[in-house]
Amino acid sequence: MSLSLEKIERLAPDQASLSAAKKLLKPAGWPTLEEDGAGLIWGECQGSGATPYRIAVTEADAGYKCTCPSRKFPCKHSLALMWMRADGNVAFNRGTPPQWVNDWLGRRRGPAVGKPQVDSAAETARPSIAALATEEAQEANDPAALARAEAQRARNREKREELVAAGIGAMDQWIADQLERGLGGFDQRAAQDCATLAKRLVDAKAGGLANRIAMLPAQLFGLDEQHRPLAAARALSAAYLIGQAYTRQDSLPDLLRSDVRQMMGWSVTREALLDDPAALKMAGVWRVLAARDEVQPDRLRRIETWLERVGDDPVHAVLIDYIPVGGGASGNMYMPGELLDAELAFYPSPVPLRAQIAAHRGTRPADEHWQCVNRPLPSAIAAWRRALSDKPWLGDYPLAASDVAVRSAGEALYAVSSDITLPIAAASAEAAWPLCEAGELALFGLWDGSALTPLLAQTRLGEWVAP
Amino acid sequence: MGGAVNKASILDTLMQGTARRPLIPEGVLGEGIAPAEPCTAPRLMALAVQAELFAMPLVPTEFDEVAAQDDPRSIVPEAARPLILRLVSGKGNPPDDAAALALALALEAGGLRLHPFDLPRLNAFVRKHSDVLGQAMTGRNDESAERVGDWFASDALDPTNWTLATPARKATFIAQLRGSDPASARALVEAQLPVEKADVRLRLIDALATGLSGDDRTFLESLANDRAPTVKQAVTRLLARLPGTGAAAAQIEELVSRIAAGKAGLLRKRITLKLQLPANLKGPAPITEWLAANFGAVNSSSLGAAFGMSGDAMLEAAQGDDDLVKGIAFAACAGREWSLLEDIARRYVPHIWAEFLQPGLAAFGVVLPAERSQWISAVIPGAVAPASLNPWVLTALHEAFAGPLPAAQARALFAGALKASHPSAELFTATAALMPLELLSEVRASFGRLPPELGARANSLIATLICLNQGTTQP
Repeated sequence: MSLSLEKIERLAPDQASLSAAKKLLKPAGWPTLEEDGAGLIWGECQGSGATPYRIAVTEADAGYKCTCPSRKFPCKHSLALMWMRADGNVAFNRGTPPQWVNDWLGRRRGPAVGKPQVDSAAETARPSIAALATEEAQEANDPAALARAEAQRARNREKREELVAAGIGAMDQWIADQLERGLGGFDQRAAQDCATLAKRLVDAKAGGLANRIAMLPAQLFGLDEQHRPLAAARALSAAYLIGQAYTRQDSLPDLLRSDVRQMMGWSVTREALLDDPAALKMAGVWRVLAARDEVQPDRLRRIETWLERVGDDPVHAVLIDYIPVGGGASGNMYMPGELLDAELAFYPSPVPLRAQIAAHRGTRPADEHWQCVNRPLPSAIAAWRRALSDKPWLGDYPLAASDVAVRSAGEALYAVSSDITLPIAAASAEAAWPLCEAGELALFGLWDGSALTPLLAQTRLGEWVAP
Repeated sequence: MGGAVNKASILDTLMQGTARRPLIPEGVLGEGIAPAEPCTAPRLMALAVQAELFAMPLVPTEFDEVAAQDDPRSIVPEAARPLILRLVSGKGNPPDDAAALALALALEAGGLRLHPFDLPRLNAFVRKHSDVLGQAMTGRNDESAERVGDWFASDALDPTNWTLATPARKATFIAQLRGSDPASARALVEAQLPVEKADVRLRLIDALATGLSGDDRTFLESLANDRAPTVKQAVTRLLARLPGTGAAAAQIEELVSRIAAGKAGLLRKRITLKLQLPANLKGPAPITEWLAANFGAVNSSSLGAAFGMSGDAMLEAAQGDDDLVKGIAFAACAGREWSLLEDIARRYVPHIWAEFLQPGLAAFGVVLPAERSQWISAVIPGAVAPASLNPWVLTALHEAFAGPLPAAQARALFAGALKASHPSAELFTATAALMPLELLSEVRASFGRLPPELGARANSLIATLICLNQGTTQP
């Protein structure tokens, strides 16, 4: 049984979903549209997130899966993919289902049996594709309304600046109080004190700083007791620097100013970034090196996809998506080992790492494992030092190095090269332990100045991927 | 910022608190910072932390030596790694079901070991099947991980290293040695038994069933007071079966006293036998246990002789008494009378194979793979009734058989599972787990047509088993 527009109307949760799906029917927004010839179609659709959403649909039973965080089922992306298929105006390339499609097929439970019939009242209110034309005709631009909205936005910005300044003042005072009491026992009072300050910063519309402070207790308790005071000093120092830089942002270079505003919580929309002529853009084939996620205190899951541009001069980038913890998205939109042919637009920063996909030309599995040749660890550390000079609140920095060995000393692990030794994060030690017997290897990980979190290694025993 | 900066003293002060120890801006980091202002401490902290970052953390100068991996097995093929991870790790992929057991047995049979990089994610699976996979795989935090050389191919075991093998391999080794040199095998068991746990002691005692003779009597009698009840029962069972001793005769006498002979039929009188069970046995499980313990300790020809009947005639006479027929089947198995067992399966109790699963094959001394094959050929001589199949019984069969079934029996189970009145993912997974290599492609073609909710795990297992069989990567 194939898909039809009537079937899509029946599946749509509401009229708004159909309306939203219709806006996605342009093939240009779909870098991948494929089918297996046996009733399975899949595609990638660039949404508002950093990574495209991945959608798979089985035509026979209209089963669907999308990686977007929408709480509507099916979401607009699934509906759009079905719609394009039902229309028959868009060509689907023939291909073999990629791993993420196979994973979904392996997990899916199949169609629900005995699904209740829609009653007649609901039937009359059913979403309709025909009704969309009427809606579109009613939409008209109102210049006066647009001007009013713009003025309101300007007032909101101004008010927020005042709130943020007050929040920074409160944070500085809080930090000074903590230093007066001493950081030796900070971990014992961190949970309560940090929560109080984080709430204050949320009220001050400084969401970025609020998250940093709110996550601090959990970070500290992930460390050995002896390392907590210094880790607290580092975190408070970074927050203080961001606050000070923000208050003096007019005297900062443009990139640093833009970076510190993002750190504070001012968001740069995808559209604004792509429209920014000054934004750094880089095209090429990017290898997915790692995907990792963590739940933030604001109940958002932060999914990082670390990329490396394939070529003689590797460049690293990270795509960051935020999805609600309770959302239906599966996360891990890209898997290590995939190649992404795309142009990336980097968020303005003296150390450009975070990026959005500006143009997407498709994804494919890599034929070969990641290679990291002739990139000694000291060079990587030198690059990190330069980055730290450019951006004092740097945080995690991607480090790729060849000719590294992982060695143990007691319960701790270290990445050892001829000249430099880096401690490996205690949280990664259990998973990274097998690397001790792998000899010399090429390693990719995130270095925060005190510990390396290994994410990918190429060894004589094969590829190691952090769990 | 070199060693001259006073970051250490600043950080030290900040740890104690500026209320206790005021922070005086000085040195390189203190330049331009006024003392006793609210921002003095945060600014000095920021500078000191930045200097600390550039200085790099302290690291040891000496590291532990890595112990050389002394495992002769090959690592699984690279292509099988993601399949294995998907099969037995992560949400919804249990490490202890039929699929997991099939994977463990396939790894053992293929002389393969898991990739060391995958062990942290496969921890639950490795621990669950450590008796098959070897303790060496259970990781660095396991106390028993010191025994790194605990896996050997069957043909590599000898009297000097057999104690390091997994329990299943130990038992197989002893059973094989009993076939050629019973006295040496007994001597090895005698020396090893005091240091083994109860479950291993039980396996070793059961292995002595092969080549059992009166020479074993003294040793067995010395074990009659073993602290584990299961071991004591196994010893009693073997003592009762000792040929040429009074124990076997006493056991037969005990059974004869419980079997009442009579006559039935109007025109043609025929002999009937009726078993009187002990009155305290309630429910099928205790009855099966009692039957296995008592009938498993004799052989059916000796029992028939007590009534002046052949095994076949005794069966004929026991018709209508299911418990007695079951008992005769247990006795036939203990006496390796495979044709009688086959007759029972064909004519009287088609699902007799399932009755053996509660006591286990080892309870009848069936330890060697060749004997297990003879047993399965006897108990499943033809088609299998779909109604007798459920995931639990198939999993128990898998555990008892310790590997895939011969093709004929596997095909019978496969055909029965496809016709099951209550199909389930667990049923198809347990069925797939029992399939031998030569049937996997055929089964995959059939299970591939199942809806995902029924066939996904079975197909995932089959794909993994096929991949494992396609070669290994590095030694």
